[in-house]
Order: sequence, then C-alpha cells, then structure tokens
Amino acid sequence: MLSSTSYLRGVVSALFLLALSSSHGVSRAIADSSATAQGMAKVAPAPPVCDGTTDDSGAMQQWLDYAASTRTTFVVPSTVAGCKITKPLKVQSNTHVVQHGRVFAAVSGYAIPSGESAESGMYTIVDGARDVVIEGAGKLDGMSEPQAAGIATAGTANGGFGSDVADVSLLGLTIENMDRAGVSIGGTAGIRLDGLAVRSSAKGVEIGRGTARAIATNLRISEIANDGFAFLNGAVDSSLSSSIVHDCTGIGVRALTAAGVAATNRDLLIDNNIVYASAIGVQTLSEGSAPSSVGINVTSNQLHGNRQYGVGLLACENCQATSNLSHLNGSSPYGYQPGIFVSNSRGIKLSANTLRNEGQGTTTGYGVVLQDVLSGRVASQRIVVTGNFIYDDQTPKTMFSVIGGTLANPVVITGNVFGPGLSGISAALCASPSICTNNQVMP
Amino acid sequence: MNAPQCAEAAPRRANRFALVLQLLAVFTLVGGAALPVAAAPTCVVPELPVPAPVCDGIADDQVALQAMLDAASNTRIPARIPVTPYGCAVSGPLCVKSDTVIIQDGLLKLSGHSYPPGPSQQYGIYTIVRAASNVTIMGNGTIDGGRPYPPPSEEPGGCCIGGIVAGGPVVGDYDAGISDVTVRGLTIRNVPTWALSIDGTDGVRVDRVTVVNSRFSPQVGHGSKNVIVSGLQSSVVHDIGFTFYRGISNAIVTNSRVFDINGGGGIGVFVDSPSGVAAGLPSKFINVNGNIVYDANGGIDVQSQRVKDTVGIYADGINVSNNLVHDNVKVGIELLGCAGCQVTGNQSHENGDPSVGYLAGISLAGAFGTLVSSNQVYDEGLRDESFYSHARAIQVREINCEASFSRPTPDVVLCANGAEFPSTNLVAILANQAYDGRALKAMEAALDVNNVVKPVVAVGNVLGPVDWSPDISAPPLGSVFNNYVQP
Repeated sequence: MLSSTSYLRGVVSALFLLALSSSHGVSRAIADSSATAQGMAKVAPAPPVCDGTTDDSGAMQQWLDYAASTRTTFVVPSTVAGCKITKPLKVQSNTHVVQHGRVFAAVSGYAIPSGESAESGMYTIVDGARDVVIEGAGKLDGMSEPQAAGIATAGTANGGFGSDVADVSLLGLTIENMDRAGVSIGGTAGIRLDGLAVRSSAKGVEIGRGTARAIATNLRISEIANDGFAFLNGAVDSSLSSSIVHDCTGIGVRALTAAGVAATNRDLLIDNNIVYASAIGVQTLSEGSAPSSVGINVTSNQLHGNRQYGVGLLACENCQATSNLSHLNGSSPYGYQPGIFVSNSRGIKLSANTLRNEGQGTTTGYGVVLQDVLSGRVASQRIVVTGNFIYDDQTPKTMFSVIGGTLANPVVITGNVFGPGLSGISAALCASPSICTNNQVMP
Repeated sequence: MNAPQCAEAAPRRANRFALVLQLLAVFTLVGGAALPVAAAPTCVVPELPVPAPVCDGIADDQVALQAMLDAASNTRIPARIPVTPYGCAVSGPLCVKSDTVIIQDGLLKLSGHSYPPGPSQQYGIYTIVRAASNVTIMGNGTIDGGRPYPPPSEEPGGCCIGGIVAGGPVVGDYDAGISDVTVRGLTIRNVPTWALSIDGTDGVRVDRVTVVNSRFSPQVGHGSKNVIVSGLQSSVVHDIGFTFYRGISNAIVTNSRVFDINGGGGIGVFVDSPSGVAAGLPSKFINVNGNIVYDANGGIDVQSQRVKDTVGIYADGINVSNNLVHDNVKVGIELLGCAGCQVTGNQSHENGDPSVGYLAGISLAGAFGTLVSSNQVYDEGLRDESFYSHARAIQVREINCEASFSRPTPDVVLCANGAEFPSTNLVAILANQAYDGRALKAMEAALDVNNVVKPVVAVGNVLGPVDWSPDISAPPLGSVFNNYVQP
C-alpha cells in the first residue's frame, strides 16, 4: 500500500517523466522544438535510419542543414549498427551536433565527391563557418577507408589558409581508423579541442595553416602512423596541454613548417603533456628554407620511451624548454639519443629540465646535444643551458655524455648538475668565448 | 536489498525488446500508478514486467534503472536518469556494461548507507563491470551515497558502496580489463566508501567532477593507464583528497582544487601494498601539474611502499610542477621514495600547524634522482608564544621507515620492519627561493640536509631570512652547497 505522501511523490515524478519522455524520445534524430514554437516554417526532415546498411549521408546532411538554419541541436541517432555515410558531411555556421553513437564510413563506398576539397573530413566545416560545436561521447570511425578523415575544415588546395572559419569546439568524441587525419583544422580563428581521443589513424591531429587561438587540451592520441599532434604551417597563439600522446610511428607532438610554406608557427605553448613510445617526444622543425618557428614554450612535459629524443628545437627562434622530465628515450638505430636536441636555433633557453637515462639500448646517450644539422639555415646562437639535472642511474649506463655537439657561436652552460660517471661537456662547445662554468658533477 | 552481481562484460546482442518494455512501463506509470518494485538480481535483463523508475525519492528504483542501463548498452541509446524533485533511489549497485552512455542531470541516491558488499570488496552506485569498454557517465547531476554529514565518529568497516567504481569487486583489480571510461561533470557526495574508484582501465578521463564528503579517496590506479584527471574539486574527504594508487602509469592530474581534506594528504601518488591487496607495482610516468591544494594533511604526497619483507618499489618519473600548496597540516610537497622525479615551479607556503613539528615546504626522503628547482617556499610552520614549529623550507633525508633503520651498505637503507630501499641519492636543489617574511619566524632552516650519506648538490638557491640558514648536518662527502643568503 502506498502512503499518500508516496502517492503524491509518484504523481509529481510521473509528470516529470512525462515531460522527459516527450522531449527525449529515442532512436531518432532530435532537434528541440524552439523552431516550430517560434513559428518558423521549416519542417524537420526525415531522420536517418542508422541501421548500418542504409546510406545515411543524405538524411544526416539534411538534418545538419536544418539544425544550422533553425539553430537547433542535431542529435545523431544512437543505434547498435551506427550511421553509415558515403561522403563527407558539411557543417555550416551555427551548427551544434551531439553525437553519442557511432558514425562510420561505408566500406568500399566512402569517397570525397569530385570537385570537393581533398582535405574534407567526415564532418567538414565549410569555409566561412562560425559557431560550430561537435560534441558527445560517440565515435567517428573511418573504417580505414581511403580518403576518410575525421573532422576537418574544407580547406583549399594549399591546406585551408583561406577557410575563414571561426569559433569551433570539438569535444569528447573518439575518432579512429582514419586513412587521413583524425582532426585537420586550417584557417580557423578560435578553436577548442577538449577530451578527444584520436587513435589508429594515418595522422593524428593537425592544427595550423593560418589557425589562431587554438586550445587543445585533455587529448588522448595513440597508434598514429605519422605524427600524433602537429601545429602545422602557421599556427599562432595556440596551446596543447594536459594530453597523452603515445605509440606514434612519427613524432608525438610537433610544430612543423613544411618546405615551401611561408607561414610561421609562432607563440605556441606545449605544456604538461605526456608523450611516449613515439619517434620523438616534442619537436619544432622548419624544413628547407621555411621560416623558423618563433616563441615556442615547451614546459613541464614528460617524455619517455621515445625512439630518438625527448625534446627537439630545430629551427626555432626565441624558444625555451623548461621543467620537462625526459628519460629513457633513444634507441640504437639513431646517431644521437639526447634528452634535448637543439639545432639551427637562436635565442634558446634550456632550464630546470631533468634528463635521465637517455640512449636506451646504447652506450651513446646524451643529456643535451647542441649541433647544427640543417643545411642552409642560420647557425645557432644565444643558447643558454642552465639549471638542468642530467644523470644516469643505471648499471650499466646507457648515457655517454651530459652535453655534446659543436656550434659555431658561443654558448652559456652554467649552473647545471651532472650525475657521476658521464663524460663532461663537449670541449668544442666550450671553446672561448663560450661560458661553461659553475656546473657541478656529483662524485 | 539486492546482492551485487555485476558480471563481467560479455558479447551482447541487441535487446530492443527490453527498451520497448521499458518505454511501455514509463507510459504505464504516467497513467497514474507507481508500479511496485520487486527485488531482483542486477546486471541481467529483468524479468517481465520491467518496472519503471518511480524516482520519488523513496521507492527503490534499482531494478528499473538497471533495465535502463542494460537497454542503453544493448541499443547504444544514452540512458537518461529521470530528473525529478526527489531524485531516484537505489538500494544497491547499478552495473554499467560496454557502450553505455549515461546522462544524469538529477539526483541519484543510495537508500541507506549500510549496504554490505563483503570484506575487501568494492561496488559503486554505478559499477562499471570488468572488461567493459566505451563507458561515459556525465551530466550535471548528483550521486548521493547517504553518508551523514558530519559523519559519525565511528563507521563500520567493510560496509557500503561507493560512487562510481570501475572493476572489482576485489579491491585493487589490476586485471579488470576495462577501457575508455569518461566521467564528466557530476557531483558525488556523501559516499561512505570511495567516491570514485577506477581500477584496471586503459584510457580514463575524469573531467570537472566534484567530490564532497567521501570516506575514502577518489582514486584511479591499480593497473590503469593513460589517465587524465582535470577540473576535479575534492573536499571533505576523510582520506586522501585524490589518489593515483599503485600500478598506474602515464597519468595526469591537473587544474584541480583539493581542499578541506580531513584524513590524508591532498593529492597522493602511492606505491604502497597493504595486506590483502595484490602486490605493489610501480606508479610511474605521472604529471601533477597546475593544482591548488590546501587544508589537507599534506599538500602533494608521493609515497612508495613500506612493507615488511619486501624490496622497496619506488614511484618512478613523477613530475610535480606549477602547483600551489598552502595551509596544509604538515608538508607542502613530500616525496617518500621516488626515482627520477622532479619538483619544479611550485609555490608552497604556510603549511604546518601546532600539532606537528619539523615541517617542510618540500620534503624528500628516499629520493633517488630528484631535481627540486625554481620553487618558491615561504612562511612555513607556525610560531607563537607557546609553540615553535621549527619548519624547514626544503628538507632532504632518508626514507621514512616506520621504525628505525640500518645501512647494510652505503647504498641501502634497511628498515627495521624488513623493507629495503636505496639510499637517498642524486638530489639536485637548484634556483629555489626560500624565506620567512614574518616578524616572528617559524622557519628554522631554509635548507635541511639531514642524515643522508650520498652527496647532495644545492646551488643557486636564495635562502632566507629564516632563523638559521641553511641547516646541514654533516653533509656527505662531495656535496656542494653554493647558495645566496638574502641580506
């Protein structure tokens, strides 16, 4: 027997449930009813089937367009089989997508239509779009289909400099099995990537090509056949933080300017990430005669178990690497296995880093290597190495020397502490007028 | 009261029928009468008829909500916990299987907090079953475990269930085989055991979760890896504010606030191995960055195991940087048994109270390869007419054996209880600032190197003014101290 209080509570709760059941129906695309409530004439299109067999490209595109034009939210149907698409979905301004289920590329049936940008993704944010949010706990699966990329700005032939996109948020999704990039963003002013998982794809996350004010945080990137995360060809005022990148065939985290590209990567913060089991932990590089990166701050990261080195500043101007913990990097096929590698860079500060047990599998690891290896670029200068702790606590040791290499211009190496049993600073680096003083070697 | 039977995830088939029944039940409820709720085992598709959740705050909704979660797993349609004025109530755990999205914007509470799972077991109001993958629990709602506040002076051991648990029921489920778990936005309060306990999971995201009044620490550990915890707010925890427990690797806790912790430290990284739990594994490759910790027993605490008859296993590769720790009872940052660790860019101040003496802003014991650099430590400890805390800014010593220790060789510390650790070694203290700016100083030393046998290098630090500075007792041969004393 229900008490009267319980009965009343039950009635109240039932009314709430009625409201709930009417506003949160299941197994269909959902847009809130504000459009019709405001008397707008638009009629919601038929929902995608999402039975895993039917091509949902058309229906999903209609819903995306409807959501954009009515400023409603497109809730992608969540089904067991998922929604199948055969071509990229175009995302216009003022689109809010919530995807908790799976959207996948049709096997042997996904293709970018002729005449559309080769940069297109399964969600393609069109040129000129503003205020786009794509979020949810769902999965975007490229099924390793040729041409499949995850989320991309449409771009142009040269990679999206002219996309003119603004204010994009990509939140929470898992993106996997892409034949191209998991995320590829160009020409965008203001983008936030938070909590994405990108894995098992040809490329991980690429942000650049004229993109400014990108905040990428809390990403998990793994099993990437190329670079895990790249600030690519002209990213500015952007950051990657608190992310974990691992098991990449290429470099874990990179700021790269490709040969022939005039745009500069500048004013980037790479902090508090963990990068492991990749070719290199964090690297800045400008290829050929491309302009050097400027103002790159690599701080408080942990780099371990990477195959070449922990942090590389190659062709970097006014950059610093501080408070990083780099250890257990390097493997035998490579000539240098340092914690930090600096080449053809100017205005560099390396400070308060721990560089430990580098050169795994070798006896040629280094703490720091300062060596110009890029042909045709400026010689390194204004290099300061101070307050770092470099040691090898293994038996036997895999590190050979604390600081190696040679540079044409003088350096300042002071206030560092070196563990016992390692060769000292390269004499070539310390030739006058370089300053190599007040470094302590533990007995 | 239902016995918890959160079975391991298994290959599933679509169960749209259960969903249809569920919806029918909802509409039946709307028709006017709340259905009686029968007790049934959890984590199975309930027998017909499927009850609807009443969510009047009194009726037991466990069976109905379990049906919703099962349907969500089977259909991939997110389960939306009903939002009602009085919330939904459960008498036992809700088992969460693979491919489940739960959206909870209302209240979900445990009816009573005396649920007995058995000794050394863990269940949560949401229990993510072993081998599950792709689970998201999110929303703006609250999970309430029913623990009184303020808590009773004595709480029974081995009772109750927690908030969100992944793995188990064994505590320390290294082999849970779970992957891709996200917990976002929820508030978990009044939990009589673990507010959050995630074991054996590859790929964890804890985002903007609030924990209030939990008996045990919200924790991720025991074989978990690739873990990001950010935006956590943890307070009124009668244990550690947040813990990475033993056997965790590649994990980050960042941008979190931990405060008013009544039992242990603020943020802990542990490699302990208590009895009854699987052997300790190293906790390694961890960043603790950008957090604020105050009013805890200690600020940030990295501890290795101290167990009889075992060789010490160190935490390895712990990067504690850019945190702010203040007004904690004992220390700001403590490394007890840490190899390849660094403490950089932190600010520590005003830790220590009259209940303990010889406090430190940054304390190293059993550090094996540690850099302490670019930190600011000031105004530690407390002093008044009756008390002088003798605080230190930075302290270096041997592992904190629970009893006395001996040195079979200079490289080894052997605790009286049988645990063995390497001696403190390879410690560099560089470019820190340590001072006491108060008129009545409670800091006795800016740098205290005490009873270690391996050389320590402390150079380029700016120390003082304090009462004495530095305080180095019998520095080991080869040590280097070249610092500046603030005039």
